[in-house]
Amino acid sequence: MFKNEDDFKKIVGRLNIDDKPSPGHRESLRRQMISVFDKSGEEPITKSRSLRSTIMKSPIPKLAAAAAVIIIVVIGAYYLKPDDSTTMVDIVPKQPTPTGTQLVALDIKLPKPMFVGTPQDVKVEYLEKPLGKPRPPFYAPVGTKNVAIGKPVTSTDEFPIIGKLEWITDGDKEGADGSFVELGPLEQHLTIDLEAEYNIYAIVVWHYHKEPRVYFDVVVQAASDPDFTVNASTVFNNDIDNSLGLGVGKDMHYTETAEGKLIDAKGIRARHVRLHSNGNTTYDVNHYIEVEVYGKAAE
Amino acid sequence: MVGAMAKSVKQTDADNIVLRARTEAEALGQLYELYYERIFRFCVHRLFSKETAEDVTSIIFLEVASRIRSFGGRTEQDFQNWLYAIAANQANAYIRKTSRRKRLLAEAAGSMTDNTTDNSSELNWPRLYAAILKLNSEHQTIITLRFFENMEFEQIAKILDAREATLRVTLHRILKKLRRRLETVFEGEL
Repeated sequence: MFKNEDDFKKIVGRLNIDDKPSPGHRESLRRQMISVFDKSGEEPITKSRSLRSTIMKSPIPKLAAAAAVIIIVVIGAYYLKPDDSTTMVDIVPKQPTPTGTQLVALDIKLPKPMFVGTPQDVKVEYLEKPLGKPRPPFYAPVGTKNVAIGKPVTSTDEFPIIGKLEWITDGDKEGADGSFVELGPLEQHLTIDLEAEYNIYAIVVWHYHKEPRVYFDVVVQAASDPDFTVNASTVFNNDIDNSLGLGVGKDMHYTETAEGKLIDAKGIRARHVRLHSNGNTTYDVNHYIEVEVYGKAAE
Repeated sequence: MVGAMAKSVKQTDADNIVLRARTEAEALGQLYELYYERIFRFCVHRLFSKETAEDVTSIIFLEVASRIRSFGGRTEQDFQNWLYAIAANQANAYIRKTSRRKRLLAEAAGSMTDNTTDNSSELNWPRLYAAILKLNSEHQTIITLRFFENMEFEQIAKILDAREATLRVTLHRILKKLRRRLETVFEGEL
C-alpha cells in the first residue's frame, strides 16, 4: 500500500484506465455546443430583469409597495407583539398571542458545518457580530412548516453557471460541491413560487457556508403576484447604499454559516418570495444552497 | 530565453482565443478542441463508466456554450479554472444520487471480478475507484484533480474556491483515510 503522496502518485501513474473518448461523441457534441452558443446570442436580456426595471420606474408600484409595507408592519406588530422591548427574533412569545394562537419552536434542520469556530470578521461595513452560540429557537404558530420544498424557482440567471435552480428548494443544505447553485455576477435575484398563498413567519437562506463570507445587498421580498405589485413587502434589506434601487436597507450585513440566515417575516401573506444579492466578499458571483420558507396556508 | 518568449506568445494566443470565444463560435470551437479530451478523462476518472462520462462531458460543454458570453475571465488559466469548476460540480451532481453511486460501485465491482489477469497485490483501477467513491464528493474531486489531472494546489484551490493551506492538510487526511479503506475494503463490502 502507499505511504505518502509520492507513492500514491506512482500507483495512479501505473493504473491501466481506458479513458479514450470516441470520435463520434466528440464530433456530435461539438455541433451541439456551437448550436447552443449561436442560440444564446439570439436571446434578449432576461425578461424578468427588464420587467422589474419597467415596474420600478413607475411610481405607482412603489407607492403600493410602501403602503403594503406600512400595513404589514402594523398587522405584524399586532400579531407578534413581543413581551418586552428587545428584538423580535429573540423573543417571539411562547405563550398564545393576543389572538389565542399557540406558538411552537420551528424545527429547522441544520447542515453539517463546513468550518469550525466563530467566523472571523470580514472587513465589511455595518456587519453583525457573530452570536458565538447556536441561534435561539424561533417560534411560529402550530402547523407552520417549510412550504418552499420542491417549489419552482426562477431567476434573472436562468442558466446558472453551476448547479440547477431546483436545487435551491430540494432540501439539501450541505455546503459541499454539488449542492450549491452559482448565479452570474453582480446583481441577481431568484423567485420562489409557493403555488398558493401562505402566512409566512420565517425565511431561512443559506447562500454558501463552505467558508465565512458576506453577501452584499441581500434583499428579501414577498408578494401575492409574480410581478411583486400586490401585497408586496420587503422583509429583509441590507442594501445600505441602495445600490439595487429597492430602498435603503436598515438590516445589517451578516457572515454566512451553516445555520443560514433566519429572517422574521412576521406572518405576512404572500405566494411569491424573491431574494436579491449582489456578489460577495470573495467573488462577484452569487450563490444559493437552499431557501426555506416557513408558513401556513393563508386563512 | 527564446523558449520563454515562444511560451509567452503561445500563452497570449490562448488568452486571445478565450476573449474571442465570448462572441465567436470558431474560437469557442478551438477551446473545445483544446479541452475536450481533458474534460472527458476527468469525467472517466470521476464516474468510472465511459458512457456516463460522455453524458456528463456533454452537459459540461453545453453549459459552457450557454454561459461563455457572460464569462468574466480574461486568460486561458481563468477559463481552465472555470471549466473545471463546472466539471467538478456536474460530476458531483451526478453522483449525488445514491442510486447512481450504487450503480457506479456495482460497475467497478463487476470490473474487478471480470479482470482475471489482475494481480491482487497491486492496486487496480476498479478497486481504487470503489474506495475513492466512498469518500465525500469534495474529497473525491481533490483526489482526481491532484493525482489524475496532476494539478498544483494553487490551481485546485482556485477551482474549488478553497484555501491552499487547507487543501494540503485536507489531502493528507484524505490519503490517510483512503489507505485505511483500501487496507480493509475488498470486493465483499462493495
